[in-house]
Amino acid sequence: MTLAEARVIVEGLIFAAERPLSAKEIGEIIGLDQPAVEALVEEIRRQHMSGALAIRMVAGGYQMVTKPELAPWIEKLGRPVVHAPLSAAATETLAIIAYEQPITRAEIEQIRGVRSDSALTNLLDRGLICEVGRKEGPGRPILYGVTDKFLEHFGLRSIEELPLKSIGQ
Amino acid sequence: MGYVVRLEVYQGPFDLLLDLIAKNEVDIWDIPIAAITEQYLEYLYSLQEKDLAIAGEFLVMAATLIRLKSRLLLPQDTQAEVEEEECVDPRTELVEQLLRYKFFKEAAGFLQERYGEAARFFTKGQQTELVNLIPIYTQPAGDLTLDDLREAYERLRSEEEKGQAVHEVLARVSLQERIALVRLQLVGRPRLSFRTLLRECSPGEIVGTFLAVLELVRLGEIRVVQQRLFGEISIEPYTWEVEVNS
Repeated sequence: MTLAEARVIVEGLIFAAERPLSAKEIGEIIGLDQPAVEALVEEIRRQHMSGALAIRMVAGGYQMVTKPELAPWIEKLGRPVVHAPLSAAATETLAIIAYEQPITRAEIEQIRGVRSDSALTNLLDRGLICEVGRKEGPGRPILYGVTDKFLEHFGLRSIEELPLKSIGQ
Repeated sequence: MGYVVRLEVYQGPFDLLLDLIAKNEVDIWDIPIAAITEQYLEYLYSLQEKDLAIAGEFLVMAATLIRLKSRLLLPQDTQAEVEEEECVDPRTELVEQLLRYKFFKEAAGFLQERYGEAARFFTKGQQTELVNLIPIYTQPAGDLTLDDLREAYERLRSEEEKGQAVHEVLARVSLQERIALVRLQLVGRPRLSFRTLLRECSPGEIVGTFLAVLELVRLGEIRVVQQRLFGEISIEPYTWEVEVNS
């Protein structure tokens, strides 16, 4: 396998994957180490400079996307369900889960001061959060956490990209 | 011209309290409980006046505020005065809750911003999830003028006057009879308006005629054409020639 061939394979893998693909995963498939994969991706990126597609780093992996300046055109095709606006209640709930995970519904409601079951259902339906276990104690309530889809949809490479908690307090 | 009621929407009692504190430009660690409680209750009353339901959580907070207010009003007993150094401000717990909520509200703002940015990238998989909602209902106001409405109203009025007699006798309406009637009226006519068919009909007969038309459409004997929304419905005999020509 030449370097040029490897580059084409990497590009194909990122294109075909349904989710962001990490350099480690790609490396395991084609038998190269992580820095080699990263270098190949850099080259692919350069090749894409003049095209419609770009490779973005999100949720710890690479993802092929259309360039942001194309958004106004692509939106004319229709707006994807995943881009449907999130309500203020859902976003607040999501923020609490992202910072405090794993967390129960009761704990979320304690912070928000209002019932949050419909916001939770909404977030579960969108796949932005999921059940991550049960809390020990009476009733063994469900614990929630954010998913990799959450990172993807907010364009975050990892959970560490959230603003520091100390800033707000 | 619409009548617009502007009402601030709060996510919950904390949200409302934070807004009141911001509007009053007071220090969150030194909330003037009496004044804030008053404004908080005012907001709830304004909701009540507009007949809007108040969520239970808002009432719980109102009770908390009133309790705080009364605790602050009561003279502290001497023993408490002695231990004043250690005496915890009764507002502390509320303030901590408020600050905690405030942080997440701001974090939500950050997420909302990122969400909008990230929505400018499209991936291949999303293509299958596109929502292409094409409404099958179009706004009637489109090409409908005020004159159209007045005409429709006058037509109804004149028909109402003509048919002053109340149909008291409940006559049995036979569907077969109505079908035969529609067929008969269509003989030798290229088309017929649905309204003509309903002329001088009792409510029962209107229903019967309507069903007769549906039945004839099902049988393929007629077709029904409406040029525009809420426009005249015309009934045409359905033949293969008609289909070929059109």
